[in-house]
Amino acid sequence: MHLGDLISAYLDSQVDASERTLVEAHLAGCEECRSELAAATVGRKRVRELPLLEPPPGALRPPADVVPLRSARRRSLVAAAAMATLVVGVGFSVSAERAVPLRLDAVVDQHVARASVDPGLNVLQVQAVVNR
Amino acid sequence: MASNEAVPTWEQVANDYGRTIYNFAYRLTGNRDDASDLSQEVLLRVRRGLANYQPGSFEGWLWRITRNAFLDEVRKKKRRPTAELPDEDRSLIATTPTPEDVLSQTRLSSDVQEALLALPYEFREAVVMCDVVGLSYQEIAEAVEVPVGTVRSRIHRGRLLLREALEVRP
Repeated sequence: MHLGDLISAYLDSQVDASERTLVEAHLAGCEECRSELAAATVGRKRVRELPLLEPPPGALRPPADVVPLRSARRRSLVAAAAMATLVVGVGFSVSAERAVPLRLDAVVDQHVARASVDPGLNVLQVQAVVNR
Repeated sequence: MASNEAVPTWEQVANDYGRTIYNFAYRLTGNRDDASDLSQEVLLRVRRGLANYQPGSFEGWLWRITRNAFLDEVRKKKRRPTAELPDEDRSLIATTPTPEDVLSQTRLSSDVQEALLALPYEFREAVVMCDVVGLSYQEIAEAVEVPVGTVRSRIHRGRLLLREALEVRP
């Protein structure tokens, strides 16, 4: 009879005094168990030597901040709004030169609504809206 | 944490156990994104669970939540965790003196990580809880809800399989 998983328990000091005595007495006379002890020792050592990793920023954020889907959506809306501002600005300067009467708030509203569903909206399309 | 202490706050848990939870998650999944998602999920569950937590074996409670979160994620993805190439080289804490040392250290720990991912889940979990988290057999038994004898067997067989895998791929 061999020691089996008592070997790892012994390595981890998860045995009581009588088990310890039994294990040590057995090991003294059993080459097979000594070799299994050596193998388990290597397996244990290699895992214990793994470096402790630093969690990336955000991995341990308070739960209230953990809303990946919503924040991603919010980011794309902000991007769309920023682009809309830029594009409408261009359209406005062009239309101002042509002295076309313009209701800017209506244009912005209309464009943000469109840009949020169609981020690919381009300058020409906005000019068409502005010049309408 | 002693069993007779008061119920900890969420911030205490995140502060005291956050990094260990992340490392547990990383060793189980083998990649940073899954480990981060899992850590967040665990902390969410901890916050929900703290309200009903009865002071007792905190470690058993925490790691039971952690492993259940992991198993739920795996079920959700309907696949076993894949053995992706470990990317821990980007997040090593220890600073090592030369690029050669860094490479060698990364390669060696990557081998161990791959060998871990190749283990049957129950063995990997037991080995990681024991040798990465540092739980006692009793605490692992409480977390996994199996007898201590089963934990002992899983740890031992896991270690022998690891040793075997690392031997054929030195």
